[in-house]
Amino acid sequence: MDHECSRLLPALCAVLADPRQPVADDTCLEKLLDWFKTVTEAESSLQLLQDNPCLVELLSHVLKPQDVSPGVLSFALRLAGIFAAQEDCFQYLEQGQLLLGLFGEAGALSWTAWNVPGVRSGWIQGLRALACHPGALHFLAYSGAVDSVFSLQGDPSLFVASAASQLLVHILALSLQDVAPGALHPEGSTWPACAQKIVGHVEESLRSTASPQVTQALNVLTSTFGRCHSPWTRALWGQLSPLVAHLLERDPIPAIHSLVDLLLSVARSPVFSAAACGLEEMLAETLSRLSPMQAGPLALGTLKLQNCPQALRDQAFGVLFQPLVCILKATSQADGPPGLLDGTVDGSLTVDVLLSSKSACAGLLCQTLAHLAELQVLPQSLSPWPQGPLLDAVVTILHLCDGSEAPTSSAEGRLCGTLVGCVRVQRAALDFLGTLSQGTSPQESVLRVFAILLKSLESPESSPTVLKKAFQATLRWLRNLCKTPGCSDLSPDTLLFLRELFPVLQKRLCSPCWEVRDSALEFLTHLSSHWGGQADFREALQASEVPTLTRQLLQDPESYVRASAIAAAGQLSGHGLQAVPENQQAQQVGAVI
Amino acid sequence: MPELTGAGQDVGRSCILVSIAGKNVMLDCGMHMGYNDDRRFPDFSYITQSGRLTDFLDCVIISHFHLDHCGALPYFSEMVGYDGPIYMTHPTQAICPILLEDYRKIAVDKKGEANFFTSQMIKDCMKKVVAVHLHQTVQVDDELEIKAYYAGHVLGAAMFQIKVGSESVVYTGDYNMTPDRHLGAAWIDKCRPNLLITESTYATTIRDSKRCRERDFLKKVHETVERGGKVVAAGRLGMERMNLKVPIYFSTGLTEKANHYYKLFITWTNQKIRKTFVQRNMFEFKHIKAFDRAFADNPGPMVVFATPGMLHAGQSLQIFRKWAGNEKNMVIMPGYCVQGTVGHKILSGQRKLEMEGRQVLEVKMQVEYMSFSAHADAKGIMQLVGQAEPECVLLVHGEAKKMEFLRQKIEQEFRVNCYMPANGETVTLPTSPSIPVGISLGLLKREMAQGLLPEAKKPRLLHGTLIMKDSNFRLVSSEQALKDLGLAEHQLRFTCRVHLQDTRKEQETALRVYSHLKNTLKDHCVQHLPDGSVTVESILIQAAAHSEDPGTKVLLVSWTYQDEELGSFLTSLLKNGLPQTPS
Repeated sequence: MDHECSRLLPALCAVLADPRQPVADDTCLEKLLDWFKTVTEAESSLQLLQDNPCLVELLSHVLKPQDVSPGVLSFALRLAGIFAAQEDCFQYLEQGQLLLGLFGEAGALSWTAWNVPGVRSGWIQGLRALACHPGALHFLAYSGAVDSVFSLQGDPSLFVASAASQLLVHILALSLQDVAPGALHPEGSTWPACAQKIVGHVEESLRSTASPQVTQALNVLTSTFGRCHSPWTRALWGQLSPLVAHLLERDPIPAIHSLVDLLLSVARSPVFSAAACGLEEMLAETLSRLSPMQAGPLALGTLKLQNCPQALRDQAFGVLFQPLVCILKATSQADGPPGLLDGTVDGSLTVDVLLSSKSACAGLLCQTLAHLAELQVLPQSLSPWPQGPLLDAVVTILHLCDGSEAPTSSAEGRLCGTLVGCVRVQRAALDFLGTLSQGTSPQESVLRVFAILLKSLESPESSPTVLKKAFQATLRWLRNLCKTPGCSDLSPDTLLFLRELFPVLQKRLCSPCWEVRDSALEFLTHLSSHWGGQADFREALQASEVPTLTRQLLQDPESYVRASAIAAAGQLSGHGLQAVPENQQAQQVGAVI
Repeated sequence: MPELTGAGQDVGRSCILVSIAGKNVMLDCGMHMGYNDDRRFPDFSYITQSGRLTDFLDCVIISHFHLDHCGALPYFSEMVGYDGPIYMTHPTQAICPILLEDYRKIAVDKKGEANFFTSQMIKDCMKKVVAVHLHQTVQVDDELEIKAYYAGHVLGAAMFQIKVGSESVVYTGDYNMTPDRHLGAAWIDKCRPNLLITESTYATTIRDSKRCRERDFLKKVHETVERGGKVVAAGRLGMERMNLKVPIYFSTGLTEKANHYYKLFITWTNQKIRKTFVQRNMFEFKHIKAFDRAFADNPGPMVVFATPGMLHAGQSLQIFRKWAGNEKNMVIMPGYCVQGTVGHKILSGQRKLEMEGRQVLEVKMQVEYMSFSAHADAKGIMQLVGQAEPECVLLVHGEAKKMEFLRQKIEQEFRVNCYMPANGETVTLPTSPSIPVGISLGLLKREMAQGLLPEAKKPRLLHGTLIMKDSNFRLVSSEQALKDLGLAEHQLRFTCRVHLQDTRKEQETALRVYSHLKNTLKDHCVQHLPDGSVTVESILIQAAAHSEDPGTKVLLVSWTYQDEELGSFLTSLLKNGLPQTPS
């Protein structure tokens, strides 16, 4: 700390301790703590306290909290934590009973200001900062602080509750980091007191019938297995997994989201393999017990695992594909969609969800499409990837959304009624359709994709957000088709598509919505940057009004559109595709700028 | 129901998550101008621990264009990944990207901050916006609808009603209950929401009339100019009737653009402006010229109106820095300043400011505070609560101590619960949802046949069977329900044994029971059947001999659930024994 700062510190501490000078600006205190952190990272905290006794005086003053504002109390707790993070400074503060006074049962917990969430948050953050060495662990055990952290897990403030949970994980990891590999059984007395206490609390919570307590325990375990990959985590799972398995036997299963997170966190840990410790059975059991909506994230997470057993993969794929299979079956397209599912999976639950209400149907489809999009780009996706049936399903969904699917069954009729005009599903389907461009598709499927994209782009019903997604999906398909080996030029089908696309683009460039005009211009810019040099493309483009309209949009009343028009005109011009003589265009661009 | 990620007991970073009848709506997505790091944005990871944000949130609503209400929106939609709809009014949609772009320029281009949104992100975010008109009911989906009400405050500011079925929440954003020179007063109908979430920036303030405040303002400006000083008026201050002979400027850029939008959205301004606009444009000031950065060094007095009002960046801060050192000069702050901003510091009496690069700026100029801020004062907040008649009130966007005062006042005056959660706190409110139920025509006709005509104001008890199918509820007669559901009827009978001291034969005992009941229950149909049993309505009584005691007879009584009361009465009657008859 430089001399000037040291000189200012007593005055600063005096201001903080003076109740007649309330600190009106909490951000000052936050920034002050940032500064103290930087200072203590560079030099000894003990030295800092010895050189600046005003700091200890300030911390001592806070022990009489009737005079102090909650903001300053919280600040002091966090500051004490920052100092006590260094073991010698911790001992110095502990000897002076300062730490017990601040963090012990007679400290912050007994203050009236404890009701203020900021003070509770400061207390936890202070403890989190100091919990860095064995001395701190001993302090946490004898001061009763750990018991208070347990109760703060259920705090009405999300920030406090979350910080309490994270602190428990940190204490557990800190206590066990040096445990000898031979003493790996948590029940034995060889585990440190803090760890035993926390594990005991987690066990008790997992046995509880109260859902919030189960959730808290599961969250602590999720973070533990996510963060710690030491051998002791295996022993911990060995002890707790029967209790977790019992949760699956309850009806209804409590804290489903947290349970899913925990199972995936354990499965992802390098300490475990899915096949070991009964994890595979537990994952399979959970997949089969959850509703289609709840099982989706677990199925995706399972499929993302590095060494997932084949049977489990098949089951997870079944869960993810099920809604699309139901759509295909309902639209009578597939008695058994080849390659998607073998037809043995019972889809009645999924059908119930799809037909129950509009929001449930849209929710399940959007989630499924997003999960599949995420999965498709992964190297460990299903091999062979069922490109054909998935394309069929997504095209069918888009037809259901635009109302062009003629219902042939009552289920299809219900689906039509539910999905028609559903922008949310349309957007998700177009996103997924764009992702599917990465796979290899037969010519027939490509033509179907072009047809539905063209339809989405020209439909007067398409909202600006749907059009934006449609433009993005179109671009991805065009790009990926031209990446095909031996296909450097535009294929006749692609060229035909482009010829049909430009009149649609023309229409969109004249849209009354600035969002649509802008998306169309962005699309044109990308198109031109890719194919501006190709003769066929140039010919098709120049046969349309698109270059002229682009020029006109340089005068658009909306500045965003003008900016995009400049980019598009620049791109066209770069390829010699401008509709007017270059000097005239330069004048126009100059006028706009 | 509401969960606060920001702007609980503070001002800045407004962000409230409301869960209502299974729908999740995020109200505002603001940033904190007092921070230059991650803390400037709300921590969105608290919204949902699992699942995608777009799946979890049904929509985002932005109340107005101030950055503490919309500053984190591009970060949320383009960097955190929310891809759903965003609702705001047309003027907010027009002005919001200008402020966002301006702030981005200061943060990234001038201060070189990282992890900030780009211009393209602002544009992509604005493309997700669905603009709404005042009083237009917008159907977000089949169940969720929203409606905007005029809030005054700034151009395009709106209060929003969020409704799912019979449950509703009103979020005020920032509002002003007294009209100012340009905008009208906030207004809402008697919508009786389950919850009103209201700002409380001026929870303890009762302000003077606008005219008094303007007079004071002019007086202070005249005094400064007379002693040769310069005046910088930050933010929203009236620009007319200055009657000064010194140059008056307004800063170009934001102010100019703001005036352009006031002209464009003239229907959002108050009636006076709309009327006079036909004759003269009130935003074209004859004596006020555009300010150029070089003018700041001109000698002699001048008055400059510059934004932003909190002196956290931009032209007002630049001018302030130049003029702060001269005690003749004056800065006039027009309203509330968020913690961490230069405006907040000088209003708290700080005279030495640490600027960038550890430069210390000594403030010798006069600092004046004139509350021109367009927030409702305590009286205005009470007025709005009275107008909307909510079941509960939740105070946000204020300081804890002041909020506590207002909370007590609201609870006393309106006899409703009032909450003031801190950031990160969740408040859960129970509601009694009313679920619409269709009644079958058959059931209604049967009721009518009993001669009871329905009356709108008198609730009536109606017996029937409730069928829940495809999220619809239907009340039908039990016969109809059996038919619809393809069920066979089962009858449930209650039985009871009553022991009687009687040495006579069973038939005689039954006859005695018949006579006793016939005499006692004159209004009921009592029958003695040929098989010796006795019936009263659906109740059946049979006499049997006791297996062990010949002096005792056992009466077997059984009845259906429809006659439960009568059955229970008869059992007690028979337990008291039969009247003695001559043997």
